Amino acid sequence: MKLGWFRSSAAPRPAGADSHGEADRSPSARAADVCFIVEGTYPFVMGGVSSWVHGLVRSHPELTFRIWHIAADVEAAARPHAYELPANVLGLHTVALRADPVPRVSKPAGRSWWIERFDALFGPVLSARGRVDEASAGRFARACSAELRAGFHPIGADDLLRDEWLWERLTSRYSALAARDSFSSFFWTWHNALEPLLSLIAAPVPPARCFHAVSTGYAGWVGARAAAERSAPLLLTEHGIYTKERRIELGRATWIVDRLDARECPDGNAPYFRSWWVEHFTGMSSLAYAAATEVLTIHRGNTGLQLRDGAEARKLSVIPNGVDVEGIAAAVAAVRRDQPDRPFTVGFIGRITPIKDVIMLLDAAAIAARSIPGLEVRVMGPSDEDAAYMERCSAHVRRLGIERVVTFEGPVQVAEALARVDVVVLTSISEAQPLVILEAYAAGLPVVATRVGAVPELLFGAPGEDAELGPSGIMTPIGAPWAAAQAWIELSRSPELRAQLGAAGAARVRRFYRGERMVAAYRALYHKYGAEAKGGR
Amino acid sequence: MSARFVSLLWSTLACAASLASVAVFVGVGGGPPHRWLPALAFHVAGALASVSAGRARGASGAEADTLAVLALGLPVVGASLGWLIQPSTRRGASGALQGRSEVEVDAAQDALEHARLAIVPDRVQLADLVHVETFRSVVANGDLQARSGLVTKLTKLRGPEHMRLLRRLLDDPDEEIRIHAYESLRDAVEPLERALDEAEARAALGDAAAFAGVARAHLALATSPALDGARQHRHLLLALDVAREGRAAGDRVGTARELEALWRLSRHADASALRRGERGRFALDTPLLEAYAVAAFERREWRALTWTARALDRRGASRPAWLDVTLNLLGEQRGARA
Repeated sequence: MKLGWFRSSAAPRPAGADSHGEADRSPSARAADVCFIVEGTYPFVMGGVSSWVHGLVRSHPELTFRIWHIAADVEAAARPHAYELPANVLGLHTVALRADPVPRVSKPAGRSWWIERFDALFGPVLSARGRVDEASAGRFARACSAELRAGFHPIGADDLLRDEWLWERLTSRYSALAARDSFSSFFWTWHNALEPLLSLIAAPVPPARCFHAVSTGYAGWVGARAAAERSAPLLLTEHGIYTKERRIELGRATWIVDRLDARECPDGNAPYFRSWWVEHFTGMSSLAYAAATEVLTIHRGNTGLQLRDGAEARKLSVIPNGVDVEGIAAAVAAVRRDQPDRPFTVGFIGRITPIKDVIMLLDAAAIAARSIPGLEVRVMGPSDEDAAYMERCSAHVRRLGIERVVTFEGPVQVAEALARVDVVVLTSISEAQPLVILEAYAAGLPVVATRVGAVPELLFGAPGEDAELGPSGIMTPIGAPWAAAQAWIELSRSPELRAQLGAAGAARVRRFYRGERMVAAYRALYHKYGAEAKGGR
Repeated sequence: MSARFVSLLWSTLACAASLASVAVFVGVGGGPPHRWLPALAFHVAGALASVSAGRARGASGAEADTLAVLALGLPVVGASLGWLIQPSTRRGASGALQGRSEVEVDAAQDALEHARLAIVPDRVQLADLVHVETFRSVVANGDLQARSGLVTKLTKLRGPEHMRLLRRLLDDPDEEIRIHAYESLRDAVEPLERALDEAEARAALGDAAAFAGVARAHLALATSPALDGARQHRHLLLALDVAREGRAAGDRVGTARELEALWRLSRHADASALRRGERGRFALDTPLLEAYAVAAFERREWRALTWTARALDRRGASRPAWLDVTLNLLGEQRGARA
């Protein structure tokens, strides 16, 4: 199995979608076994979730897939592909959240029918009350499963101004909830929230026997819609937790105008509109959890957050990512053989982007270089995703005077990279379950990583058998270069410690993080909900 | 009372005043730069007054000469006396804080920390300090939602104490809060780093004056509360290097930045040597005054602190909150003594 951006066949190619956002390779539009629903990732962006989806599709040549891609806007949906779609992908379907012209959804002639339908479809998330109750989730599913289009008039987000009933709905909500903040802001909040939902409701659901959403948010919401409309099962896999990520993003967002001065509410309550958006996305997540047949994630740390946002415990399970342990180990061993003595080398393998906090890596390099003679820090990964950030990193290297310590090497073969370093380092400020740690383990290398996502579990093991293997790396706080440097120094001075941590990591990855184990788990699910259901549907 | 006695008394009083002025200005220290100039002027005036008074009252030539020698020799005596009383004076000034409750002393020390961390002093209001207490309780006891909301607020307020709280939240048990706090701190630092990048780009073109800009950008980062101590220190060292380069290239603004870096690094002896060497050939701008205030606080030079506050006022610059707190405490202490 091949997972990871550095090993996939990733030659950019023209966008496959036609002007309608559909690129169907199957003239009869036949139903795929599985339809992946992704938000802003595969096949347009490299790494992370994209490589995970690509790997799963390629690992199941016996199954057919469709990809339903949700793009931020029309331009994003028209980008070149970062991955060549495998032959078992029947079609790529794209939908832009912000479309021009504004999408219009059919509206029934019968007023009461329309009111009921609007409330069922959008009420749970436009009310922004966080978790959605079972009754509302049921109403949502029934509204989706009904015939949405026959005999309706079209409406769009602009109808908030034109439609008398919608206007009344908006103003009564405002009176009830947000009287302290401006009506104008409230109007635009509704408008901006409704527009992408209308886009998603207007988009035709790709034919498939099983839907697999790779996040909650818009992907999960439209997944819930698709599952109800097609009476199909919905699998939901979360790498990172959507609501957590949105909360951070919304907290920093400058496009939300807070009328209240921060000093006016020092008790910790977020200003109204930030809270509104957080609750809006929490509502979307809980609708997806309610609609999902299985709710999966890649590490245990996420399950608590999923429960908090409304997932039922009986639906939850963890399928960790995995790597080709033997393949990596053999490739690394082959390269290692022809290496003369070299100085202590730290390797960073990943995209040069702010979320990886490469600046912090460079700060750590400057500190450690004073204590480790001849230290080499190899930064390996693509830098074209954020050219400005790459430029900042280069300037930082010059400023710190560590040109002889740090080298930027661009994308490399993973085995080649791992064979030429003594320690693998991860400085990210946010991760789900970083594959690079598993790959380092497969190569028998210790890891120095920040305390993010699944890192504590990967370094110290889940309680029980895993933890008994002992630590396989050193964990540091985010944004703490001195702590990272201290760890490097410690490892540089103790080959025994490196060997001990490396051995624990190798044992851990062989026991719990084999790629074939992950593929087998998903194969079982796909056959249960997709492929084996062929005869019945 | 004989005319000779009155003359002698008048002369002695003038000399004593002269001596006192020299003692106070030279001995106590901590006054403004070139503080010896007014002292010397006062002294010379006193000496001349005493001699002329003696002559006017008909003192003999020998008596007048004695007075003149005595008056003109007084600077040595004054300086010596000043040096002798310096430790006790300093003890007395420190006592201004020692006499206060621990909480107040902590507040003043805390305030100094704030000064070191001040990123935008003009936005730091004492009123904010009141909110900080509430914020601290949210950090300690608030639930996830409250802490998350707090991070958003702290990000908007951006005062030194708010940034310090954000740094504390980097150790929050919840990853979401840690990431949010770190991202917010990065947002605060980013414009400063961008300014540094731009300043370096200008300096690369070979403009001597641009060195001061680079040093200024480093100093802005060094005093940013969004950065940890290690990185602040590194930027101070870089600022010092760049400013020295600028001074070597003849940039006087670079001298001010060098002095500022030295004060902020608590390298007071080097700073004094530089001041002496440059003899005031640099502008006392607001950042330099702020750094000088921090140095004065560290050295417990309360008069210098008061002088700096006035100098900031004269420039129309806001005083850092910690400076107000400290001066209030000192004022209260003086009031209590009176």
